[in-house]
Amino acid sequence: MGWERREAPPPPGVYVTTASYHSKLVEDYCARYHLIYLVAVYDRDGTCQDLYQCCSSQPRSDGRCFIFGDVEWREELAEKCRVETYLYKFRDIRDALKTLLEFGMHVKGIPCTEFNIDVLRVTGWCDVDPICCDVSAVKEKIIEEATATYHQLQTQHLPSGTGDAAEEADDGCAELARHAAETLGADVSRLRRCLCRT
Amino acid sequence: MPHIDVLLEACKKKEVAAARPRLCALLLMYKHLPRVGVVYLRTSAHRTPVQKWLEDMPGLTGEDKRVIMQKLMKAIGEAVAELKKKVGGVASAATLRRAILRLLLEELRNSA
Repeated sequence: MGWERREAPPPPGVYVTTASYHSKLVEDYCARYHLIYLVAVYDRDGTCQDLYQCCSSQPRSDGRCFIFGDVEWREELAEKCRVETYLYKFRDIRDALKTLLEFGMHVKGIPCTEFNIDVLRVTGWCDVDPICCDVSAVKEKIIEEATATYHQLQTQHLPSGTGDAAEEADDGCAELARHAAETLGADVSRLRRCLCRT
Repeated sequence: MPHIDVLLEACKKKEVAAARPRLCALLLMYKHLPRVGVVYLRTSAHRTPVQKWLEDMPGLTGEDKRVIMQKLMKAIGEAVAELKKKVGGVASAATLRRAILRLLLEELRNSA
């Protein structure tokens, strides 16, 4: 038995993504496409016959029907948009949420952080990809690495301060000034004073 | 996305901003996206928000700010070029938001 298709708006339920709604965007979208909703119906004891009816008869807080869609459904959309709803029955709540999560992430390309954190936790997605749920560990690592790199670079750029190195640098500069003076016919000592300031 | 503020806080350290310009640039781009409407992808559009953000960064000399600004704008330029390939030069804010998030998650996974 596959997904049950209805040409009707989604029944009441819990949206698995942080659903946003912008009427202008929805109008543009509806001018070209149908709105599609996937509804995972959690039916542990298998008593539900009409899936749509089961969701409609439950209070919203019951958490029996989980919905994935591009926008949260509103009555006003009925006039502007063609809508399709696909329903499927699940015995396990984890399977229900995981199906919607994987569809959203892999088919629609929605980043995991746009899903409700509870959905990510229940499906075990926080263990698969911890960044989706908590970035504090990564943040610490980034700060640590960046600080270490910064200090390493600072140490490398510090002048060694030894006489030999200073002399070497000075010799290099003097040599360069001499060449420039020869080529340009400039006063070597003045040129050196200008160029070889430490 | 709560992640953004947590990570932007890390970017306020000059060591992080200098060492991870791409990460900080993507975070700033995400943060300054409008919530609705159509967005034209242009590097220059991000200059002022980045400058303002840098103004609020504590303990930075003028030279530090100049160097970090340069690095961030370079990273933003690269990110904009990548995003243009993915979503085109003009995209809805929602599409762009998701595209930036995907790049961000990729960047974070590389750091983890």
